[in-house]
Amino acid sequence: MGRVAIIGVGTTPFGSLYRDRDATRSDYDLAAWAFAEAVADAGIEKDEIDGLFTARVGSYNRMADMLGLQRPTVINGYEAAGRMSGVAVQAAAAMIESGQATTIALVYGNNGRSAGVKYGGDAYSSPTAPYDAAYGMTSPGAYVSVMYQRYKHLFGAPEDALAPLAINNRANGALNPNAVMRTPITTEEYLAARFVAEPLRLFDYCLINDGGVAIIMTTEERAKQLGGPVITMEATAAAGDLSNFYSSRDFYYESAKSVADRVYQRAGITRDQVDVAQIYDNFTPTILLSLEGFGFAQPGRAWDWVRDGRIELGGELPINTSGGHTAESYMQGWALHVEAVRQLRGDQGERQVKDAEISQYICVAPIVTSHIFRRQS
Amino acid sequence: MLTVDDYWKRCADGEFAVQQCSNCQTWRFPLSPLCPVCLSREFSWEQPSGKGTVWSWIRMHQRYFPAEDFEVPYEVAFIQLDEGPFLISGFAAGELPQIGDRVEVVFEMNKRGDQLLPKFRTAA
Repeated sequence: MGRVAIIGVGTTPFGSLYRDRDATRSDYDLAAWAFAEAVADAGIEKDEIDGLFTARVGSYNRMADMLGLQRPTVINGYEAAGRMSGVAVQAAAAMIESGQATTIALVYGNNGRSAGVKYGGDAYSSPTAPYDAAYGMTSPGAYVSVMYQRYKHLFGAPEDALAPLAINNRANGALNPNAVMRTPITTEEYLAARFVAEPLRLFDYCLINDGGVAIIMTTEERAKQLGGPVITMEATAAAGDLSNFYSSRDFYYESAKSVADRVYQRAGITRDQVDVAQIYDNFTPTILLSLEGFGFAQPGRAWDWVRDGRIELGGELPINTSGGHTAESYMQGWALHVEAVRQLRGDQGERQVKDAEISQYICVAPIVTSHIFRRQS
Repeated sequence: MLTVDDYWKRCADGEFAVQQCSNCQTWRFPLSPLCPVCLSREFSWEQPSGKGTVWSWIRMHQRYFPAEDFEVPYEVAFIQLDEGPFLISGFAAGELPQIGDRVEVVFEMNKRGDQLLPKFRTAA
């Protein structure tokens, strides 16, 4: 069985769309925009695509019709949850490996800003929302804050423990011409920012912005015919840690460790070989939990591990080189996948990790996913 | 069909009750049509001990709800009942137990004055 390759990635502008605050945009339009970019990037004819996966957009019917892909062999439609980006990419790889389809386009559109999405309050739904609301509890960020408060208490993490994560994202965003937030921040600015759900502060939170992302995957064999750098997906793994709450009793440690063990084993690498990682960061604490679950740092110690520049460009493990969800764009993991591929192509200018050959995507959430990507020489 | 009102109407009477499986005695919250352990649909509303432990808590600063309902900032508690289930709640007025502290249920009226809520205070 041959490997799967990523041949096309496309993103809408993020920064310029964010600055135009009056515009009203459609999720389909944003997804279609990114799709056209990804097709051009891949250098293939659109008709070669025989699989369509959609995410966040309301209807795959409408999306397929808009893109002129009315008769794909495989169709999947995914909900608007960030954990689903890794799940969708994993499923697409499995479909290609098993021969269900040869070339799959994954398209994602997010008009959260135009639509005024708040991720909290009366309109917010969760399994316990009808109970939580009576106590003023709402939003995924508040649940992650509940989990982080306990982490902080158990492991003695100081008040500025998350600052290096927020600072790193902003520093990388400053080097990304397409990022929404391009101004670096300091520890003092991080600490001076308002609390949202204490202990989490403003800069611990992802952005809410409009944008679209598309990814085109196919066989390694087909990728080699296209002439560009061949970026393969070496391995993928997932594990659920599902409950009614976005708070894991063990900080997602066991599920993350299980994914780590499988993804490195399948890829035939050790974590030391990862040149650059894109780590899901809807809220900064998830980066700490990821670094611990995947074995980069000891349990309860990642806040200390990240303090000395290890995660910065030029460090031992550069992470979220595009600026992640708090600086580049909140595309729910989709744009992190794109950055994982772009870093391996080696053309990311000032934010390029030198000679990156292996990149990893990590999402620690109620569905933990991870993939290893590699540039083939 | 079970609705969230089945829970809240008991609270309105000052009764903190959750579902308990009639087959295997597993307690469950939130409302669910069947037992997640044995899949039995037979259950009764029972009052747990009302004792639990503070798993964590936060202080909400963001205004997600109308000011008539909540004055920001306010604390939200995440409690594990001795019987197993977790639930979001609040601390009794003037109380701020810490993570790991033993707590017990106490009823308090909400800010609007139209709903009696089970909350938690440091256990006696």
